[in-house]
Amino acid sequence: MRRLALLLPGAAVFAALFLALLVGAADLAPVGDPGSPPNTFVSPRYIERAQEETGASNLVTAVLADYRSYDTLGETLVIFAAGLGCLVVLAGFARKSEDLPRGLSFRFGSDLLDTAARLLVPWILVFAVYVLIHGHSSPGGGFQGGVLFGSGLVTMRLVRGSGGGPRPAGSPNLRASLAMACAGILGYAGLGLAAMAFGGAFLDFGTLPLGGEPAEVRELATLGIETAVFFTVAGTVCILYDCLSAGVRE
Amino acid sequence: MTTYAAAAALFTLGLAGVALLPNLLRKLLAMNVMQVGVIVFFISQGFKDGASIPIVPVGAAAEAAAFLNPLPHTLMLTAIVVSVSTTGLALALLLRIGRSEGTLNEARLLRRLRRPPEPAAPGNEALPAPGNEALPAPETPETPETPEPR
Repeated sequence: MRRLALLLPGAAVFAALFLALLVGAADLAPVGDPGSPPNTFVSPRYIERAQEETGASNLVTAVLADYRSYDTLGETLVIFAAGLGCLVVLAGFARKSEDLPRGLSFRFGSDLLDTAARLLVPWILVFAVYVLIHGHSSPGGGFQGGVLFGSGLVTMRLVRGSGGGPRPAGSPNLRASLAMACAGILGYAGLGLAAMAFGGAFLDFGTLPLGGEPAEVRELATLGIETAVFFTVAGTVCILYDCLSAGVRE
Repeated sequence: MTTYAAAAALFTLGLAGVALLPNLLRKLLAMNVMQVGVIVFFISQGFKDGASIPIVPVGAAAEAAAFLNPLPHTLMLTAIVVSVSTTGLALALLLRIGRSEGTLNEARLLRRLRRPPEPAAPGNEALPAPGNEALPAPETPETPETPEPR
């Protein structure tokens, strides 16, 4: 009864919020209007010049890894920080197997699951790398490929167990995931600094001495950035899984 | 307008869930619904009638009207992955709260926080269950006694 008394005013407040949002949306440009503010200003410049400037057919990749590389560095850092935060929150807090309530024991590695995972996971990993490399000319890129790669690894851990490390800090899998995420974020920042070392601005890849036209150099550097994002995201997905599953009796 | 209404509905539902649901895990899932509302809104802003996906075929002339705006796609691509990571971090926090407190129910957690650490106050002797403080990790991680109808 008390909950109902609390719920009704709450529902009224949020109904009012919904109406306010609708009224506000009436002032926005209609969906699909090519002349709306988000579709003018900088956006046509991206569409018209991206291919010749960055060599990427996929404009999303061009914007993500080249024009707004600094943004993406920040986003990648947020992801990495979330992984580290998970580690800090749960490190040393893994529940010992004996503390688990009865019935919470997990068995890994039945024949059916093993076979399915052995058939599926290699293809998931190969597809993840394909999504990464083809991010230039088709939908895809480092974030998507990284999540795919990470989920492939997590699938393996779900089926085979993660080595039974009782504490997250000591698990070899977790160390590998951490190394992968660190390598990604360091590679990203390193590429940006390398561009500085060769006379460009931070993350301005046109000056890297990779041979060829600036657009070709940028294309290669974009692939490097996407690879760095790939490793960070895949590593973080694995860190999250390893931390959240640590201490589960296998 | 339908798109805006859908985004507003998702956002409002999510926000209402964050504010009104009693369980922290449900609040977290409601927050994800809220994020989906924001993502729908952003993606709708990049839409243009009659335009193709933002992938320019090699050698084709790139007219701005012929391709969708890539900027919202880019921003939301990163937003999705960031929301996955923040959800993971929040789950870690919830796991820790659930293991040490034995409940994810907000009201019960608040009651626990307000309770003095030791039953030293004269009026409170009957309230805390004896021996409860000595066990940091109760056996059952979470027992939602009354599943909320909403």
